[in-house]
Amino acid sequence: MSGKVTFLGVGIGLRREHYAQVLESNPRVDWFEIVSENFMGTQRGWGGRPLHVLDEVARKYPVVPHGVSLSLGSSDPLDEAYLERLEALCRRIDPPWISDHLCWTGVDGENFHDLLPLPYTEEAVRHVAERIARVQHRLQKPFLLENISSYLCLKGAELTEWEFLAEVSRRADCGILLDINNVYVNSRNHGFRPEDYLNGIPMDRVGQFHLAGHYDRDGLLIDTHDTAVPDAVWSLYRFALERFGPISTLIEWDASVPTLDALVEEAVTAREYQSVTVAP
Amino acid sequence: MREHLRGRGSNDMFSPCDRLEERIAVYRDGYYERLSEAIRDNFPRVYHVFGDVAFREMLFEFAQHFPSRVRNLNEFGACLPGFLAERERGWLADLARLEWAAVESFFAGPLEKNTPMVAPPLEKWETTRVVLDPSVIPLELDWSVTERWDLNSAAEPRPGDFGAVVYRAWEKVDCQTVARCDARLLLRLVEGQSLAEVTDDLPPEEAPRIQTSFATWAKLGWIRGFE
Repeated sequence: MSGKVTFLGVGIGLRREHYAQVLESNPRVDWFEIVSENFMGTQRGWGGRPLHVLDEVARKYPVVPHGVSLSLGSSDPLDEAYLERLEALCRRIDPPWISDHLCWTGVDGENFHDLLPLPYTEEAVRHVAERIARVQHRLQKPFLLENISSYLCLKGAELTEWEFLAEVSRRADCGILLDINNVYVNSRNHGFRPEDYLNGIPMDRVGQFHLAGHYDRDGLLIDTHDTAVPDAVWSLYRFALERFGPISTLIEWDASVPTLDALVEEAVTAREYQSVTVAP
Repeated sequence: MREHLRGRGSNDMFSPCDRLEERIAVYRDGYYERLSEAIRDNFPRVYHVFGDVAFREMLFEFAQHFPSRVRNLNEFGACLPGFLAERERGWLADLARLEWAAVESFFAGPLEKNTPMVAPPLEKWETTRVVLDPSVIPLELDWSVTERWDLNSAAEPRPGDFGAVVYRAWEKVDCQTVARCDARLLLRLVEGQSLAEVTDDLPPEEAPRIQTSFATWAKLGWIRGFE
């Protein structure tokens, strides 16, 4: 399926804090991203206000589900109940693609609710690629795989992080969701040039960018996704646009969520970068 | 890695780097912070009673005994009421049950505007089943914890026979105190018993009171219909 997905423009996350305002004001963004798990129901049932809002938003905007719990790198089997609910969500909103992370989130049935790093090895490439292929086949939707931020690397790496991401996406024939902030955070935390990372990603695989903020703790960057996009990330975004061309972009602000207007303003800035950087 | 998240484990698995312990702590502290945030969001009244320090200590112990096995953090905490009950935390366990019911009510079933309904006449109850709104969750309680529904309340709940119904009124979840026997009756309706089945063992003198209760519940939107 590669990374060739529809170009949607610039979007923002659909946050609970903004439900009422989004429904009333039709904000000037091109699309929305949702955290899949927030709309996949609970053990008791599936519905309530979140689903009502989702249905209304999906009538007017493309909506893309972005998951955090597929745990593609785990040694646990893929969770069939989870896939069933994700499939139901896809049937409900018919997204242009779905996405999740190149990581593991739990083992032996336990979920750590974190995106944990994998060893960059051939064995891990095979393992993850096979699971992604099964997910794509099951959901019949293009799948984009996102790079995570990390603070530790596991011993025994046979590949760089970007070689690992590129090889997994090639082997699984899936797309890549490039989180520009995560590339920058990792470049500082692990000592490589972020441009080398982006140059190592195949151009035809990238289907989406994330833009977000981080916190600098005396030189150790913590991926908090709780601030405006910093200048260094905007610069790297410009570099990415020059390399990859126009790519659907999402402003990802997960914590200390600002006003809807502030989020839309970030989206407008991203759109300006796109119009200035990318030749028509 | 799992052992590191629990505050133990060997560092041999990691590539050499500076500030290793600090980097490990990012993951370990983040793990408990996420769980803590989820429980605080879902149990704000319980959190208010504990206070920050005692809450963190409780959360740490809770997470050791009931590590998350759900995909969605919104669902983490289902075991908290039972955990508090086992530790003989008195009315806190009932308060936690009330708050968890609010979480379930919020996510329950399709959202429909509540429309006032009129209860069927008494003579039709033999053949009538009640369809309750999926967000209606009745509770039998051993403490008067509905007095703590208001987040600013400092009431000290009393032991006794109490009841409550948690329900969603369009966008907001609310809580209504009811007689324990009414909570029990509603629970039987939730289980699918017919009006005849739930009222057969009631004393005849209860009939007018039950009819009034049904009219109230219909006005509150708890009753979606009759079949």
